[in-house]
Amino acid sequence: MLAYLVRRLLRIIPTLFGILLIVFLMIRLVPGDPARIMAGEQATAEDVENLRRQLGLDKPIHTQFLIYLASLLQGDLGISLRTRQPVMSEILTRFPATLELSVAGMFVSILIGVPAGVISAVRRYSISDNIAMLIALFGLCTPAFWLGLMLILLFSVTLGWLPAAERGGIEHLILPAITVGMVSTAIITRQTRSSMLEVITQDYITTARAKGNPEKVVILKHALKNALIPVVTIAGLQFGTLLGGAILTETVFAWPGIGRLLVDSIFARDYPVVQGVVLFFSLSFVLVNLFVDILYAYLDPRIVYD
Amino acid sequence: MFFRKAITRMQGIIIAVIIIVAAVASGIAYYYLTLPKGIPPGGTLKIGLPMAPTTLDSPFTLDSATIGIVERIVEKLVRYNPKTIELEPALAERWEISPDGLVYTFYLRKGVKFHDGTPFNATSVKFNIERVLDPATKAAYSFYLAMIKSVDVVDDYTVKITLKYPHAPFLGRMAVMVACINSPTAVKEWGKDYALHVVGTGPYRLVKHVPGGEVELEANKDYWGGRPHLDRVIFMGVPEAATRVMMLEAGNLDVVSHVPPRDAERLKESKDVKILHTTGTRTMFIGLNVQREPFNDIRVRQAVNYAVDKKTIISKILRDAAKLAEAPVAPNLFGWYKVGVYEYDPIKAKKLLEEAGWKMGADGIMYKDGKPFEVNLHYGAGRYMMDAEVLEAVQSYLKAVGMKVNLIPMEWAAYIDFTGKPLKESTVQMFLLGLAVLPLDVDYGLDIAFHSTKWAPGFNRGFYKNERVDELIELGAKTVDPNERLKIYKEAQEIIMKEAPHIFLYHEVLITGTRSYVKEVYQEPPERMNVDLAYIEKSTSS
Repeated sequence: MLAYLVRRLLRIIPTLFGILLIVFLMIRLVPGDPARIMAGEQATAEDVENLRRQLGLDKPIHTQFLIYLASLLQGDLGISLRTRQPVMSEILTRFPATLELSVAGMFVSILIGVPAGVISAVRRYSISDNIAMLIALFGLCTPAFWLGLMLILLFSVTLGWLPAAERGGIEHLILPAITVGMVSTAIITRQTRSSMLEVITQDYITTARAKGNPEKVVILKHALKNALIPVVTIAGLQFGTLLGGAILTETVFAWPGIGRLLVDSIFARDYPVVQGVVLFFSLSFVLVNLFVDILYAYLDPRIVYD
Repeated sequence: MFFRKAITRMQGIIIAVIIIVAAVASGIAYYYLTLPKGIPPGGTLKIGLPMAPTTLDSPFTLDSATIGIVERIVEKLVRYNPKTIELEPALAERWEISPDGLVYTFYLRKGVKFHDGTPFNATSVKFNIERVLDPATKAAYSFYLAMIKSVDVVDDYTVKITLKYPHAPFLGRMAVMVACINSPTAVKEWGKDYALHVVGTGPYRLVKHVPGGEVELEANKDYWGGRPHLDRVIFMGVPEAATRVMMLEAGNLDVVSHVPPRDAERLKESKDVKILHTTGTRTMFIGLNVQREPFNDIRVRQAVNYAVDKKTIISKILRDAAKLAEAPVAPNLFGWYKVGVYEYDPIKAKKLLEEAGWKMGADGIMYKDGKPFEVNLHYGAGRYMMDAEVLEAVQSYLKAVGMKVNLIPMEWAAYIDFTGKPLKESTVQMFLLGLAVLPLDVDYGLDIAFHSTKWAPGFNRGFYKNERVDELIELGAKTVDPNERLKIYKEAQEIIMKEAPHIFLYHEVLITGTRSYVKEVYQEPPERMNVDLAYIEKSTSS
């Protein structure tokens, strides 16, 4: 297992290098000049050229890449062209907000998704099953943007129960967590349902019943534990995605996370921030993936890494 | 000994009281004569902006929303009065201009301290301006002060700025945010981290700035103009307009900027919310490539102006959140002259096209030499308020007179690249842009949009050229007498309107929403939220 872990960790390096190269080139090849965007459309060509030179953007792409790589190896992600703040600090000050939203979103989706999936499977084709699947469908099809605005309209403006937006105490987290967790809820509900259906037809479940265990124990102790294995994988991947920033939810709820940072930086062609955020997100996603694989091996003794 | 005999104790007390009252009155008279009596100072205002504040370090602040915050903390030598939009003394009490227009001597306000206790003086002015102009600083907007040759300290409270060439509207440039005076001590002490610890002389001081999040300011109780009424102001970014308005309605925010026109209309009758309108400095126009067919013909350019019903667009689409453009630049700029409008007249438009050699085909499209009148209208989608809706209306008006217009939305950065190609490479025919002017003087607007040296990659992306207009713009910048300047700019604007290098549309109106208990909040024309005079008319703060 240790050797496997080390191999996986070492593989991260070429993966991140490849991602960096692609992002570095892509952002420079699309139309749009960061110096022009910063100086504005009113600046003269001379002013823009001066600024481009001052920012080092007039150098050949390969030179810019090597300079960036050299500073990256020293742990420096560069300076934001827009705010002149270190990219690392731009990311780290926003990451807690994204982490909070992602954890809350996953909490909502697991809290609703797993029980809904279990009930759905155990009472297949019943009204409960239909309701659960309808909720899942709603979660998959509803645009997060629309859902967020409707929740604000109902719970903040009309009822006055919850604050409309911005990060704050737990009451500020409820609406954004529901919004960002809807898609994951749907996915986890459906995955739990199909995993449970597969597991409860297994022989060992029949044996557990035959031994006289109450149905609750059979379902929750014997069936669910095994059914959760693929659910854990899916949930882990969902979490990894959320860590990249739920851009639409962050926009609607004025949540100061990484998603909004990435979008604004792309529009402004803030190259160092785009590169830094993509690298950060890629690393998080790869590490979450690794964690899920390790957890998978722990949950399923049949899985052995060597 | 002599003093004790000269006045009695009672006389001394009376003299002291008179001196104190006079000192207090002169200190606060500048700002607070308009504040109603009987309202105790205090309260917190929470303001929603269309984007999260970026950087508070003035040489690097690029967006209007954040500039509005910076200008609460850091001041300039001169400023625009939020109510009258007139240029007035700020950190400079008065100034003198040499007869040749090259040397500006500023006499600075005495006894002013930065928030860190260090003194404001001529050395701090020199430090800040040189910092902006230094190439090592890489200040994107340093071009606003590019005419400065040198800054010299005459004494602690006198600073001399020498220009490279006479520039009559120079004072307006000193009211632009790059001319803000930061504490040199704080800039040197904090270095790269200064943006999070900005120190100025303004009515508010910075408490904290959470990157990507809120900026919190507190009252500067020692402000030279008298402490502001509020205790605290919090600015936050709420990018989604619908959320911003709902937060205002729910009472989560006290003030929001950029309220969409349809929400402004809906909230007009609300008791809890007040809607304020300010004419901005941005003039929306559709630029025409005047160096290529079909817009190289003045008759065609005038025809497109007659063909579009701007008044209906303003009333029906923009719900009157716009002011009809009667000149190429906004009315709140010095030198603006009301030239007039091209009244909606599709019959005249068709007649002009026919005079230019176009004939209506059976398919309802104009033809010339066998080619149809078909042009592309590019725009940066979502950049301006209701841009797509306005352009769809323009498209249909032009179609009605036989012009086929293809609307091509682009992402803003790509659009700026595309419209910024020099003439040889440019394929631009029609394009939507907004001319926003920071120094409130027509010189800046006319120069960048209509002077022939400002062709793309500059702002003059329709490649307009008129030698007389060039002459007038140059003359206006050199002429010191304001009345002479008005005559010069009148002629320039008349020529430009007649030659119609643009479809002149409207000036954007800035819509601000406040809770009813919020008073004296001003949205300055260049989209800055000015809360220096603001107060809350109830004891409960948000």
